Amino acid sequence: MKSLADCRVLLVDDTKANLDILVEGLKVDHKLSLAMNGETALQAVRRAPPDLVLLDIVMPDMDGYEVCRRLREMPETADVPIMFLSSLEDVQHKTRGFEAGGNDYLTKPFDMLEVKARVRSLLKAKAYNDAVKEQIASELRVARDIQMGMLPHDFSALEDAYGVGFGAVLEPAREVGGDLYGVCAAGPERLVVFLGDVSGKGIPASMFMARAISLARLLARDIAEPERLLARLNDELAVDNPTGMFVTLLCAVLEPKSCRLTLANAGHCRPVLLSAAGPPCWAVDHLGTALGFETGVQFERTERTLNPGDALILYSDGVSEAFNSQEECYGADRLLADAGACAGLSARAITTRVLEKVRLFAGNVPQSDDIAILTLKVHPDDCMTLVLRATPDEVMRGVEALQQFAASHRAPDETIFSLALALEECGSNIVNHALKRDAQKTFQLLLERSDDSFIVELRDNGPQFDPTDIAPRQSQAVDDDLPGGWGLELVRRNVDEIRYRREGDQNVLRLTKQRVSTFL
Amino acid sequence: MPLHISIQSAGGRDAGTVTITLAGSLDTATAPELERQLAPVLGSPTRDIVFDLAQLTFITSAGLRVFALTRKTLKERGGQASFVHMQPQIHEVFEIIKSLPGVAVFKDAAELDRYLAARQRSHGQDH
Repeated sequence: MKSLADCRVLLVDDTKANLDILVEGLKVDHKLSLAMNGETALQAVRRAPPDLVLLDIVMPDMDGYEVCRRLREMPETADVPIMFLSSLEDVQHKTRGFEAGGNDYLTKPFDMLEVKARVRSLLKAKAYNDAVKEQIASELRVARDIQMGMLPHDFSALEDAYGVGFGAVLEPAREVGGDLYGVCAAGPERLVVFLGDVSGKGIPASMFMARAISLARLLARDIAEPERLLARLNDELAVDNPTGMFVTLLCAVLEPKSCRLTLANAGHCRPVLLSAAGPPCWAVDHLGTALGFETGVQFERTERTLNPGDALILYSDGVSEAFNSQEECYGADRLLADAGACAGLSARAITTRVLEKVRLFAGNVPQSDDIAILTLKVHPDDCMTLVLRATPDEVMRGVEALQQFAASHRAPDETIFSLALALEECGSNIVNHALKRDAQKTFQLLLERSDDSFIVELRDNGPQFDPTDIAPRQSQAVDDDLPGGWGLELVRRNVDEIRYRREGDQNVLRLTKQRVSTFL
Repeated sequence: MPLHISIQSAGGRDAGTVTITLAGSLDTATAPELERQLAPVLGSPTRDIVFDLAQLTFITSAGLRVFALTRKTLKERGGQASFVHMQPQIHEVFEIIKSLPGVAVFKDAAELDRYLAARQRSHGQDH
């Protein structure tokens, strides 16, 4: 605790004689700041926040009541004790002083002994208050560290062992919060992932969160089915739950070999299934009952099969119910659309991008609820497919997916650049010429990797067109007005092989690039 | 993959030269925006445009096309398009239009400055 001698007292009075008396009486015991009018007092506060303010009332320009009100509005002095020292001794003036935010009121003429006694009393209360606040803050910091320690952050071992990718983020609105997530390896065949949200916020929610996450991790070792896991977890939480708190939780179990995914929901937000080949959708339809109310509740089970490149996004309602300054809600539709734009990205990139989108939407509105996102992605293995609409933006979405794909397979930067360039040229050709920029039409992108090369395959239903039929241009362009054909020239320079075939009513263009090769 | 475009007109000795700084990706999705922002510059009597490509990380033929049309317009009025600070991968793609008349590629600002100063003098002699 701060010693009384270290405490700073700000004296505000427009009469120098009064200030002199106070300085004389207090200077031995405390540090002092002086101000002879309201404006100077407010400036002094900004320079060095005091531990106590002794405030005259009748002053020119700004009276003591107004100074007091303004001090209360400033964060650095909102809780600083303020004692009025005034010759106004009727009860109305005293009452007004307390209403303006004053803590004490002493009438002039005063006895210095009484001033000193009151100053000491107010400073002691302030010091005690500060110490308690600091203790709570430091305990909360430790609590936050402990809570964050309960969440997995490094997934690399699991990613390597199970051939999946993870991305996770958890940001409590206060120091501690009630959101939780977990990833548990249950034997070589099974991965259990869950994400939940405890009712309420702050310390009570964080205590219940600790209970829920520990139990869930324990149960995940032995229970293979998500609906049974939720039923057991519910029973455990409901048995001893004197405060009636509850937790919503989504649990999913992935069998990485078969890519079978089973899910069960206990009153939580529906997770997004981000398919590599189609539009995003909700992974479960039913809501289910939150955990902790009463024992014996049953949960429904949903089964799905994931394809390589598919991703599952779990999140808490801090995401879907983020608000902007117009008091609009981010909402499920925006989430689905923004998540859809992340197809082809890594689990980590999807997580980061969704969080960015929510932040962007909320603008400067402070985060009011805990935010958690957990993304699980089945590795694209050695191939992935994307269906793209016939627009330039979609071509670039394909290019970004290709860059991620090649980077995830540790292709050198030059190889990634060349592949991206070749895909952009061929994709643009399809969009601009074969499909005439009809956004209703789509074309397919297939990415494949073998030990020594990358393959980019494009399929479209446009009129038959064999780009390999076109004679190669001269290596240096001449000064012509129509720079068409450059694209194809760039493709030739950047891949090792271009093959075309007509398959039914589809153009199939297959580009092959050696992992490491020199510019032709 | 966004493209950031910043356009600055030089005053003083280099008056009449416009510097366009490009950062990011110049591709099928972003080239139309560059073309749109270039239109008023090409509509003015500007004779020289310098493209600073230090921050340009990706380019395709859609971008080359915009550059080619720009240099064509400038060439017709006796000017040219200059390109400076090209990253190696951009340089490779640039090979295709590098030797067109009205295109000049410079390693760095010093090389470009020397060239522009000489050019400024010859413009002066035109009038």
